[in-house]
Amino acid sequence: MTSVITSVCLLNYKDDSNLLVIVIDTNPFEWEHPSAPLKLNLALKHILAFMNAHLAGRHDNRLAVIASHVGASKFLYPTLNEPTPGSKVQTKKDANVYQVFKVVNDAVLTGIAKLLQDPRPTLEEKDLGSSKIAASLSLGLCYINQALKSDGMGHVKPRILVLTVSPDSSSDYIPIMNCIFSAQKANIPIDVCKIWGEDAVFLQQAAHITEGIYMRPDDPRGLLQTLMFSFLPDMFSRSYLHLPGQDEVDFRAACFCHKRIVDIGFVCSVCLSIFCSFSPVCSTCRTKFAFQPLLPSARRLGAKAGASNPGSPRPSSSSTPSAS
Amino acid sequence: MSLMWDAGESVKTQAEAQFRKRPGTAYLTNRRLAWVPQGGLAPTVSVKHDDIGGLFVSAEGAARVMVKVVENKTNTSHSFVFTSSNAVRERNEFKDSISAVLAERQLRANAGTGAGTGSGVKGSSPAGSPSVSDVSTPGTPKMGPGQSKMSGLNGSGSSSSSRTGLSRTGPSAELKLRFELLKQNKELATLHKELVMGKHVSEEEFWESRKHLLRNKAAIDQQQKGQSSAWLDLKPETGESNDVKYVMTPQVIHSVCQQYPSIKRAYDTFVPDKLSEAEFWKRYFQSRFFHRSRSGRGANEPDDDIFDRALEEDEEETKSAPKRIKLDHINRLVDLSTTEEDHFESYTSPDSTMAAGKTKESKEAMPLIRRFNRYAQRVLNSTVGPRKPFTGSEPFNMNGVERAIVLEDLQEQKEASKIMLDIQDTRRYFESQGGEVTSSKVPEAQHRGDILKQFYKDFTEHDVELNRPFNIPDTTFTYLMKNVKVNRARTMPPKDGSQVLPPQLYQDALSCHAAGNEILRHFWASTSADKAAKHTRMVESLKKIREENINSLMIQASSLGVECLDAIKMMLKPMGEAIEKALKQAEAARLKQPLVRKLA
Repeated sequence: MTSVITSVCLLNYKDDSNLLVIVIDTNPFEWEHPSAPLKLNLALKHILAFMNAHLAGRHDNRLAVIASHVGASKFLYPTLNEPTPGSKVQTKKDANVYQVFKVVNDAVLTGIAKLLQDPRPTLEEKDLGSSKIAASLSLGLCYINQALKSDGMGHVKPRILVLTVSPDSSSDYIPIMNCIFSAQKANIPIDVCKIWGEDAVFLQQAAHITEGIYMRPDDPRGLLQTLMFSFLPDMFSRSYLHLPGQDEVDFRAACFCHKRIVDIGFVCSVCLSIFCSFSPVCSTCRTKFAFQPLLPSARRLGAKAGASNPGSPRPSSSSTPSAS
Repeated sequence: MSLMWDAGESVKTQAEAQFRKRPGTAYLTNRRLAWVPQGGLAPTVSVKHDDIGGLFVSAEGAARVMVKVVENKTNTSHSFVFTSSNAVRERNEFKDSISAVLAERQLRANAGTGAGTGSGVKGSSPAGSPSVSDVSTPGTPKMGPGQSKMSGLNGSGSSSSSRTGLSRTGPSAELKLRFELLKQNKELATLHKELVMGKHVSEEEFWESRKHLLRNKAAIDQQQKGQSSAWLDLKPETGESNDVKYVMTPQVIHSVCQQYPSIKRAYDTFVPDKLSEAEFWKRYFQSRFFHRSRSGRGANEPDDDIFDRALEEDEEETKSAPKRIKLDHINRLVDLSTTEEDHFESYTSPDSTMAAGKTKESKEAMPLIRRFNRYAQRVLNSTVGPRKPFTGSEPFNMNGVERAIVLEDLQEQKEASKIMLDIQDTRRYFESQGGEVTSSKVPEAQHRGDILKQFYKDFTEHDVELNRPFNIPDTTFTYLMKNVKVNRARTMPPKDGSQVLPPQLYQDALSCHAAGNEILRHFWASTSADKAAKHTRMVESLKKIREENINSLMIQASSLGVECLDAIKMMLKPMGEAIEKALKQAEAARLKQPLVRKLA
């Protein structure tokens, strides 16, 4: 982050109350996998501690927790349309716990238990192993929007933290990208913590585009420290801090036909699919192109030649739509 | 004016110019160069185009802006001093036109028809022109644009004349341009010094790749400032003995004439035949005309028949309303009078400032406003030319009006032909970025339902205990700190040469880099066979740069410490590599060449 961006951050972010929307991935197939380094209840211990730390940071800090389950996405806290769990909480009063913490902790735990208790009867093949991150992000964005609208003073500073264990879900590409761009437009940073496993490519891009932080801890058992270290500081503090995070994101595009990384390729003008060679019919959207491809010599000239032929699958640089 | 020209003759350029210290007007027609004294009717100097033997021009920026034309036959020369406020521009116009004439004659002579110095053109009757056209075709079409320029734009042809001027710049003009450019552009000058004085590149080669700079410069030089529109305010200089002194420069005289046409008329009539110029202006400053606008003194001035008449004319001019503009060609779309009946209830009253005699204010203000308006019009005319007569091309017929009142927003929207987006498989987008799909692996042996049940059991059976200590591995902190350090290093780039090196050495390194790049450019531009000599020269230069310039910089830097040496190494590394590559290529080409020759 250069000094220019820092000063912009100072202008944009004041030391105000923060609304943190946490998306917890509860994909049972990942958490219950034999190779999983952490059980969900152990991880929740870290996460609850982190939530409490966030609430303790300022008296008016706000929190929302969303579970991204397989085939479903649900608010854990605050519960929107159901009777508040407060009545239940009050019966189990614990003199040693700050009331706000207690409410949140119980709401999250009971919410997850409820979610797990009710196994989806119809698990389609394509839903298998893919957490509903896109749906959760949409819920989170809507909640933030509502919160900002009702906040007359315009002081609340929202951000989203995604705690995920699932690999990218390929069927969710477009919804996730839409969420990312909405967040970018609304100036909502999306922080991502991939607790274990391979890098989540989309979420990495999400963090990059929205100027959030992407982290993949080396050891999931130190989750609490990673969370506290990287994600606790709000946007105001971040402009003063050097935080961990991954700045280098691979935006290179591969062609749709051979999955090869291409520098110059043909892009379908309708659906933006990338191909390494010209084909008269786009195999993604079935658009027909009624013209001759550019000559090989012209192709080598790159974008200049393509610009004279608008609407053609013109050679483009390697940047994908998401990179622009 | 047109009376004094022969039939078929037309004026290309004209300007106020003094000849033998007498004011007058110089004309360049399509046949000759002529000079008519002020108030005179016939040219006293007349040089046919074919008799023009040479052209000399005073240096740019000299005190007197003049053109000297040498006549072939008599071997006499005529000098014209340009006196108007934009003398330089007018002079250049003359210069360009005359050099165009000379160049054209040269072209004709080169055509080798043996027509001599254009005996066919000498005839002053229009019958002369056909004989020109058969002698040489370039002669006739060249005249065309010149004539049309005068008739169409009437004196505002600075753009077209500058274009011809550009193409006609001789070698000396280009040398001058180069010199000026080097004087203005310091970076270019150092590069020039490095390359040309260092004998790496010849002068011609250096400028070959910078033609656009020269062209730009020439274009800028050709551009002339328009006349200032400021209202002339003559202020006397008061001397020691309370005497008053006015300084009249050609510019001031021009402005006075422009402001007061009646003075110009008087000047044209009386100077220099009846009055000397100094006498004329002396009387002007004593006259009532001059003092009327100054407070209280006007009445005491002695009578002066010249200026009193001029004053009368002038007052007459400002009193009388300007001729009504004919209103029959007003664009119907902006003609408010046609819709007057729609606006009987109006909140604004018509502007009566310029209506004569209506109010007391208008009576007083009108002459002044008219004076300013006229002056503004004259200034405008002198730069953009008079308003073009109405041509009738605008939409006055009903068709045009109809076209203009059609509102696009009210038109029926045509359905744009769209292609429906029908994506067969959105997974492909993902795969183009994320690689292969890797979904969660479900162990084959287990049933999915079992996993879910097991998961629920695990979750409910183990309590989440927040009041127990956390076991955080030590590596987590080290990992995080490492990550932070990497990010921090990225935001603080390492010091570069500009901070480390002393300024002089840094500049030297920069110019060495620029010179190297320039030679590299010449090197790669001369790879073709017909530029072999240049190519070899460039190879030598590259070697020289590598062995002398870079090395000397390295030695200097190394004497200043390791940090400096590293910085300069970093600065010059890309160029060093580029030179290596170029030399390798040259070596390869050299080895290949004899082989090719043998084959041939």
